[in-house]
Amino acid sequence: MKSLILLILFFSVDLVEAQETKIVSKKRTIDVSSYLGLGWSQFRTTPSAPSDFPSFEFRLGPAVSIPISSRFEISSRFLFGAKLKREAYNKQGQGYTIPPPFLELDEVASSRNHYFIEIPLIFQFNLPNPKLSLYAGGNYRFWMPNNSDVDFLTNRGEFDLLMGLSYPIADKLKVGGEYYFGITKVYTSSGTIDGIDSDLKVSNTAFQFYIQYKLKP
Amino acid sequence: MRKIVKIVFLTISVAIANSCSEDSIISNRSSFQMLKMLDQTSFDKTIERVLVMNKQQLDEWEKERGFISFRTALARAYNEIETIQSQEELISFIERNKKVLWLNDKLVMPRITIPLYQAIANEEGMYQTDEFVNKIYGDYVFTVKENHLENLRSLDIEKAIANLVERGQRPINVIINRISGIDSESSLARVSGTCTTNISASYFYNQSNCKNDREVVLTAKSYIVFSSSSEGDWRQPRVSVEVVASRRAATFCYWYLYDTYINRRNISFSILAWSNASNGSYSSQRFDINVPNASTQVDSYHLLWDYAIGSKVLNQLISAQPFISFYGEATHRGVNGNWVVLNCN
Repeated sequence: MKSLILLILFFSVDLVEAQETKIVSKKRTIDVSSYLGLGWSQFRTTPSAPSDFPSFEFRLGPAVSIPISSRFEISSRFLFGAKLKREAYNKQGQGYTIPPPFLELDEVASSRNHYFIEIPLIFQFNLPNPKLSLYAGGNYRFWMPNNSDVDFLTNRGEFDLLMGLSYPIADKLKVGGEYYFGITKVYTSSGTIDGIDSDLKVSNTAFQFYIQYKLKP
Repeated sequence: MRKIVKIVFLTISVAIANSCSEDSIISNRSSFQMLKMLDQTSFDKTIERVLVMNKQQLDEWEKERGFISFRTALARAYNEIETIQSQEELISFIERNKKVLWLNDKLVMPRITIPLYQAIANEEGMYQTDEFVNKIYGDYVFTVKENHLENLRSLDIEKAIANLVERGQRPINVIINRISGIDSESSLARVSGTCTTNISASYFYNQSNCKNDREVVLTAKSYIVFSSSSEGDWRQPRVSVEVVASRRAATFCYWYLYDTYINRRNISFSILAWSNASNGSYSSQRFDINVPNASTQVDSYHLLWDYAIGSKVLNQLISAQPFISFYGEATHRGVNGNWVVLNCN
């Protein structure tokens, strides 16, 4: 009940503010901006692995934002990105420090750069003061094909939950941070290790900081 | 009569001793020496003997022949490591011992990592079988006829490997084979030949040469898991046998891994690993392993069998052993009842 009252209050404030800025709202247009994000991604495993196999990632591309009220926006992006290859823990000719069943994760993280395109759909709430924006949404990521080196991050789609916050540091410039929580199991393996049944499930997780520059209007 | 028995006994003993030492002789060249096995039978005999020897026995075996092995040269170099204080000393040390050591990402690594070859090769990594001289270098063995020995000694090995890997070019009069790592020539075949540490075969089910083509890949890998404890560094030999399923999408015919029902059967292999004697020493031993038949319980990309082979070894630099022999079959639901067969010896 308490949360229902809070929710009603929350939307009433937004409606009141929308009425007050009615004239302004008519002028609202679609914002187009360019986006550059830098961060790192990890494998989230069940059972847990001795490492998260962190790799650097980047994303860049156009972003659009459509205001739906004075406080709410829907935004999306069309991004090209890469999960950059990292140094392998297990090295040929040396003792492996990552044991089974995680050998494949080390190999995939260190074999090559994995490129992807990504289309998130985000619902954003803009706080009046401080001018922080909080948002959450879903993300579709498609890992690019590569016939010369097919692994579990090759030619396949993935869905993530996405949440983050942003802050405008200038009229046309904002910075932010976000977290991707993969809901697709990108890798599943079953078998036996030393005679004991083993099932491995792997999803992606990513953190990133970004800068967004408004191009239009 | 007793005297005659003594003489006969002595004669037989000398004959037995001679027959044992005839497995190999020392081939002395002008500037270096190496172990020479007279033929393939002598080579097999020598290997059998060397594999069961501990360090002390190997030292005596070398002493009897007046032979200095790669193993001994390596041990001398390792003894020197403890005295190194600075980066300059390390560089000078590597330069002095470059025949047996190299620096890999701050780690001092032996040029030959397989103990068997360390025992039979000389400091330059060479040994002779019949009229062929072999040189072990990293994952490769270079072989020449005896009369082309100087070709081998003067060969720029690093350049020859780069030419082979990048352009498929081989030097004249030199045969190059891979003894560990992925053998590109043995992968993507229904039946492969030479056993290495990492072997693979695949069956390609061609539905349309694009959409819905399927592939099943059977891979076997020998590797070492490293761990540290208060006692020191432990190394455990392991073998992993994996089956992976993939299919091809209609869009540009690109491949991807996919969840399906995977099956393996009749997998068995032989490999050398270590067994721990009661006195704390380790000896090399052949392990013959049968992998249980199995299938995935739920749809999966990947069916794994991974097992520790033999004892784990404390504070000794051991490396992954190539399979002595391997046979196995695998399939998945999408390849129309066909089985990939991986076979090497």
